[in-house]
Amino acid sequence: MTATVSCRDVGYAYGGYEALDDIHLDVAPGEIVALAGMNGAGKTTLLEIVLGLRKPLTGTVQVLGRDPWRHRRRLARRVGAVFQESGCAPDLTVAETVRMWLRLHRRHGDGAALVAEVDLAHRASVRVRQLSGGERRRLDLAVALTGEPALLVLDEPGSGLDPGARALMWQVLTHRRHAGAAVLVSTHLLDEAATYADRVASVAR
Amino acid sequence: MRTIIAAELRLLTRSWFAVVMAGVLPAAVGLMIVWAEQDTARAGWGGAAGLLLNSLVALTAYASGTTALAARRQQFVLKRLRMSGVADPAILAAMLTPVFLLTLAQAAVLMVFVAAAGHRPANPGLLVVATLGATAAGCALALATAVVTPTPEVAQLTTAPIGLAFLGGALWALQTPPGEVDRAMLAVPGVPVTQIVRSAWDGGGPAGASIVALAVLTVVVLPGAVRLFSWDPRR
Repeated sequence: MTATVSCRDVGYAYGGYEALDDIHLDVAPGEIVALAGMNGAGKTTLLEIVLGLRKPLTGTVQVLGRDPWRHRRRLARRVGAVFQESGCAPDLTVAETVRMWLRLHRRHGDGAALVAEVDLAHRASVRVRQLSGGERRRLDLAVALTGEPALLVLDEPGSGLDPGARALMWQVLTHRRHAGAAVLVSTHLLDEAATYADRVASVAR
Repeated sequence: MRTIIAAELRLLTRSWFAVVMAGVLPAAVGLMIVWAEQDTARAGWGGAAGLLLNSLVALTAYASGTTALAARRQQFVLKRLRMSGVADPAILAAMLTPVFLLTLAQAAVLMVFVAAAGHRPANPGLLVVATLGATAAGCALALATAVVTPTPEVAQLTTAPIGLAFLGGALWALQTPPGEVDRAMLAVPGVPVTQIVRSAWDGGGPAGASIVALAVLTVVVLPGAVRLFSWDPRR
């Protein structure tokens, strides 16, 4: 089976600072891979390369059979992302945010089901700036699901979430995995990664 | 792109104070200029309108545009929008569209005030060209300035030189007879804007070189600014 994500000998540097070197990683459809590593190990950089936001200095990356750096726009609808920072406009409401992203991905509907899936239905009319940190993370997850993602890339999505919210997040990810999506998630919560992920990959300096 | 523009316009209306001020400010400034011009008749109606348009472009299209881009970058909104499938230049254009439209609306209010108090412009079509060209140049320069503006707070400093180039350029042009404005002067953004408005309002006077200067400024600045624009505040 063709890997959803395939990284071969990937390297990256910020000026003279080598952030990644010789990274090899595969994520298959229907697989959850947790990415572990110390702070500053390069997990975020690697995820941004997979998302097509950075061009690797060395090596090759394929996402759904395409080079994400060259084809980020084409892949956008099929790749959902949760960044460490929310990135949702603070003065839009939860419902408006999800609706906007549905439209950006040319999908119909008002997003109510997605908002409910991340347990934010009771906060649908609340502006993003008024959400708690954990609620924002759940909104980020809803936004990541607005396309039809065959790949979900999440950068420490559990940070700021209480145990119940983390369990909900893993439930949503597991549900998507069963539907065939590949999931690549960076985390420091190794016990949860061992419980929910199919594999744990490590980025070391 | 239309979806992003709609969201940004909605965000603009979320602050009613800002919306009211956006309408009240040009009306109040227009009244003052009209009153002063009726009293002194120093700059001529075209000159007064030129100074007003430069002020609007400097404050709304340029300074607010720069601040909006820096704020959206700091909020990571721009980074997330890159995952939307919308092209990078279209995202930036969508971000600047609200200030572009707001500047046009403010300019319309001002021009109506000046026209109602004095005489009407000799060439309204040229006045439209001046307004569109000046606003487009202001937005292009906002994008270029956002390249070197890491935070919205810093925008107060980074927008000062070009903001002054609009206002100072307008004053420079007003102190120079229209036929004596040379090509070097046209490199200062406020000068060509004032030249075109003066020509449109008072009739006569050269406007062709000023239109070309504004167009060249916009076209030269945009590609480089898009290429150098940083989408992530951590870079």
